[in-house]
Amino acid sequence: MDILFALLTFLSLAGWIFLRHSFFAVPLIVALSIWVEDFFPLSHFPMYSDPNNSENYFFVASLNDKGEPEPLPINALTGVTAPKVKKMYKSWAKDHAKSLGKSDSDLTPAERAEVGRRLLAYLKEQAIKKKKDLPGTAALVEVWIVYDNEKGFSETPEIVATLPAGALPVSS
Amino acid sequence: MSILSALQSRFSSPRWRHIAAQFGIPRFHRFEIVFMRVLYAYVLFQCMPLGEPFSNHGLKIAEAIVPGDSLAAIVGNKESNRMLRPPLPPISDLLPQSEAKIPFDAQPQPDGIAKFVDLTFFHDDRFVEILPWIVLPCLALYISGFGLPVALPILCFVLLGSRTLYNSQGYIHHGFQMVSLILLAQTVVSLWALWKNPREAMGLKPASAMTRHGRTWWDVLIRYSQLMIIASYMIPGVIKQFKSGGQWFLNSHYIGVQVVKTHRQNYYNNLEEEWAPEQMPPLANFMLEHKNWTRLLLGCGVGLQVIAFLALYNRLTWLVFGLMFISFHYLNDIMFGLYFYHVEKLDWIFLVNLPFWAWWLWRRFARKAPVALDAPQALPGGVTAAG
Repeated sequence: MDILFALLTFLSLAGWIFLRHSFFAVPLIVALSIWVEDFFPLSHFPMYSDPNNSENYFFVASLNDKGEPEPLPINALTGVTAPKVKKMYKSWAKDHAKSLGKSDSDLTPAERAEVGRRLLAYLKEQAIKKKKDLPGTAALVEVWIVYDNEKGFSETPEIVATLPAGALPVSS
Repeated sequence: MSILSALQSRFSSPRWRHIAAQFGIPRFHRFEIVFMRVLYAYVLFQCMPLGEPFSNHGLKIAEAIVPGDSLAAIVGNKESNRMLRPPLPPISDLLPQSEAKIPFDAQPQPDGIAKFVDLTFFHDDRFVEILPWIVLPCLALYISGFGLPVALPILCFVLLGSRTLYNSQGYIHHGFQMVSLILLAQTVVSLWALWKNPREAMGLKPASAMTRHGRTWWDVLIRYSQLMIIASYMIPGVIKQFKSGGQWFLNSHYIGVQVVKTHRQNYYNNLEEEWAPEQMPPLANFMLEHKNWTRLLLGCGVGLQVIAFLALYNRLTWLVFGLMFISFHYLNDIMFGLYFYHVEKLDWIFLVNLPFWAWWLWRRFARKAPVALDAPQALPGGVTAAG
């Protein structure tokens, strides 16, 4: 796909320069944005581009005495919304996987936990800047939503990473 | 015969020449350009990270125009704040209020030019304090039509730089992409005009034909703004076909799963009861139980994005497509909670273009002196340039 859109970018650029018609700016920007993916203000806008029967989200929680996650109002505490938590985790996991020479879908639970801990530390830092904190042992919980035609919706939570109370935030 | 000559001769029939002319740069009336400039400057002000007091006194400024407490009461109430919607954004998003200071002092996941430049100075209080003294005069110049090759690069640097820093935290926020792309395109056009005719570009001389088809540089400026809007709509329409392996339409009913995800994420933001996780959003069940209706509805939206380029044909298609895009955003807002109010404003300004239609209807029905939709005509002369 990269090669196709790189080719389309150059063809559109050639059309814009040599045929001297402003319309070619449209396919140029479209092809260039999809090729480079994200380079502000260009973006390939990947949201909702591959719908399927499962989707995941993350929430931040505090572990109670039984070790069960109790959700925290993450936006109120840190200024980072729940959708951003997911986007950050995905982005950081992708970079970590790249540094290990593998795909992010091949990360081991321990490697995912490392990314999750760094993210929790970042969120803790944001909370402290707002003169708040993530109480107790913080946990990053991933929930998979699956739709089955016969059984309907199911949601399965899993704790990805924890950050003990008193752990110092680490600036990124 | 070279490839270029072969292509040019193939596409020189009357039909192709008509299509090329229709999709080329139109002529704009002077009043249209002024309205678009003023309104776009307003949107730019709303997007600039000027911090306090500009970011939190919009209501006070608006109350100077609408005296009393009624505006505060309207904006403070969720229902009344949306009383103009559709077709307009919420009233709170129409207030003269800039963005807050960029809240990040690091760029852990650099995006765009942040990969090469440290942009964290946009968080520095000392820089943010002088920013209004830079941005507001530039906006004034932009509105006046003077010195755009000076004002636009500065505005472009501020907006793109600040939003790049914002997008360098590990997640991409898409709300400012279109307004930034338009600003970048206008900056490039103004610098091109400066190279072509410095006095005209600086507003020291009336605009004359600057392209081979008799268009002024203002026509080029507005047209490229429209082109950026259209490109921004086409990108998500095109990417969906590739990322889904051509299965997007057939799998589109699974957007219902995404509706549940959005519902849950809304809850985990601030743990508000209206989004309680025990609830299943009715829309999600509807989408998954009525696959074909969902495919039809969502397919129309994506189809609109894919054919967005047709909007460029003439003034009527700008209007029709502009209204369709606004409706598309409204439906996304009420169905998925996905809103892009700045994008809607840009559709109103550069596509729907109400000042033109008000004037055109007045000329046609009140003055009985109708104006052709493709007026004004090309200016005489014209330097050979990209058209």
